[in-house]
Amino acid sequence: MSNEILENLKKAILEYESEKAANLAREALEKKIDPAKALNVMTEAVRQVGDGFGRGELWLPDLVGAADAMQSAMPIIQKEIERKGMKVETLGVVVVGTVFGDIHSIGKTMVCTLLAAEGFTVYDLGVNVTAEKFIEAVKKYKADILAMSALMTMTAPEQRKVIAILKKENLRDKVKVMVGGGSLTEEFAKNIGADGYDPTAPGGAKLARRLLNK
Amino acid sequence: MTKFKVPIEKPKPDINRFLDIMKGKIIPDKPPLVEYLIDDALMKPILENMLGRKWVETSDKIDYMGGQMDFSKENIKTVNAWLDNQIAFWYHMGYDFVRVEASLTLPAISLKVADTAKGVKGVTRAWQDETKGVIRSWDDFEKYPWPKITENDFYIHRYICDHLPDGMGFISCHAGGVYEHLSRLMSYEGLCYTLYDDPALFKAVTDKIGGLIYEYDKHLLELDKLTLILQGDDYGYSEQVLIPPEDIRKYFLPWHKKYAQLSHEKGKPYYLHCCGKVDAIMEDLINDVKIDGKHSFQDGVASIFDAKKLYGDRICLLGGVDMDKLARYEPENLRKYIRQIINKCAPGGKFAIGAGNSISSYIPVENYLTMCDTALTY
Ligand code: B12
Repeated sequence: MSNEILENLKKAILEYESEKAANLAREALEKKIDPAKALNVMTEAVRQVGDGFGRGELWLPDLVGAADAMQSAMPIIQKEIERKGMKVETLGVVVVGTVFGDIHSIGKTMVCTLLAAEGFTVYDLGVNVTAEKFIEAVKKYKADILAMSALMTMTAPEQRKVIAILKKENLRDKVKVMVGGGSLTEEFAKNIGADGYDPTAPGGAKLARRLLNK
Repeated sequence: MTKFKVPIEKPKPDINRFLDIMKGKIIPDKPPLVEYLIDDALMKPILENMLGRKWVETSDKIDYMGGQMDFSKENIKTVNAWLDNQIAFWYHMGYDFVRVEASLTLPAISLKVADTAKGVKGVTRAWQDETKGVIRSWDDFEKYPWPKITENDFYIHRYICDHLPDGMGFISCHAGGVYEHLSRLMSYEGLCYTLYDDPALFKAVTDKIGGLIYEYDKHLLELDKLTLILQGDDYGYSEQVLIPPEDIRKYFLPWHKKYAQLSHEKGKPYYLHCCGKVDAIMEDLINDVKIDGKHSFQDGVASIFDAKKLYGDRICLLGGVDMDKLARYEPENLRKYIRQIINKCAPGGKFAIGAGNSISSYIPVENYLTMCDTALTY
């Protein structure tokens, strides 16, 4: 029975059924299913979609749909986890945002979704994020990783600026920096002193694991 | 600064020659120039410092793809002066046409962002907020203030037609295509949800916008001096198309096919500006929609070199200079790179050179001038 609910919950996410996913999450809790298990199947489903997208079998809207279904069920499960005082395993804290002057958001949002599905705690600062805001968030959330997205030649150098401030504030060795976005290259990422770059969002989630040796 | 061939004091535009080159009827010794959009950040210094004109601000600067100019009696002189500057710019920079576009008033939630390009202080631009949209339900759809097309919508087009220098053509379109406006009004995430949850609403909004642009194009095509429509509608990003190709075919391409038919009935070509990797729909665009030309290329994603090989004998190719290189290269390297593009793409005709996307605010003026100069002196 409990397996069936969990399977259906996973299926609802794989079929982008937000309402169904939320209802199944509620049902799971009513039936006293371990919320941590529910969380696992949900993130597994999104990872599966992410992998399909990474292999070029699925499209961006598939990822958006799965993420939406997960997000509609997530708060229900998380509330229960908190209520029970359970500790959720997290791979680490990641602060994410699109740099100042740049409002391209679609890729950045994908990165957030897949990092969360991978098991990271994600703080999405949105778009057009100033260097100061990035630094503030890194401090506030004690970030393990800072992930920045930039899609234009003009805005990519903002990432260099953020890294310089991290150094100035003696934060650079406390946080790993990963960068990405359409106009970036591996070479550019190395040049600005980032710890990692990946051309895709699913690759970004795996990269985050590697950066923290997880 | 180096001495450039542009701006040209006494240009000799020839829009008919431009069209013949695009059709492959004339193989020129050098390709003509083309551009889709040119940002004020470059127009202003060139008009003021090189052409000795006075810069004029219009009232719609903040609204992108959804704005209207103020055509009130008090403001009309400003609008005219702005248009005179536009005409002068395209003319003296060596183009065979003026390209100006405007949009119907289609308000969307907008997100203001400071423009960080060098020398552009205090300018804010408005773009859509990606996570919310103004249309999320049937109720929103019905309550949305859908515009009515009026004569005022074509004031600037008529003005340009009436003031075109000899030999110059006029290229325009509805600013923002059917998909672009859908994603403005519903947001990207919103349109993805609706595509799966309520395809009928997705289709209703698409068809409403598609129909408005269709009516708009009919008006545009009544202008005798309109050379052609170069419509923007981005379907791709660096890796793929933004929504599955079958959905693009189902919902959007039929509209572009109608726009192309309208143009063709008037004996005018239909060009499409479409960013990103759109290989998945290119054959549909050529064979079914019957576009006559494609704009927007990006090295490593959809390079002009590949396009020349794959499509260059079937449609004309416009632009092609990678934005990243145009923004970053030192002038000497840029010259080499541009010559390389011309070497490879000019043979056989059906090619005009310009930026891969647009002359955006962060392209250095010197690089823009270098690009034009290299092409004109090739
Ligand atoms: C949609 C779009 C827009 C929309 C943005 C809507 C939105 N809210 O996001 C609008 C219309 C607003 C827009 C505006 C502009 N745009 Co635009 N835009 C695009 C377009 C077509 C698609 C971008 C996109 O959404 N991709 C989908 C996502 C999923 O891809 P992605 O962001 O690259 O992310 C993937 C990976 O890069 C990775 N990733 C992303 N971030 C990160 C971060 C990390 C840490 C990691 C590991 C991975 C990672 O994961 C994602 C999935 O795998 C691209 C074309 C292109 N080739 O990308 C142009 C493009 C990015 N735009 C461009 C330009 C020039 C502009 C404008 C200046 C246009 C103008 N003249 O006004 C303005 C600037 C606005 C601003 N200030 O930011 C140019 C930039 C060129 C350059 N090298 O500088 C491009 C490349 C178009 C081109 N043909 O050249 N644009």
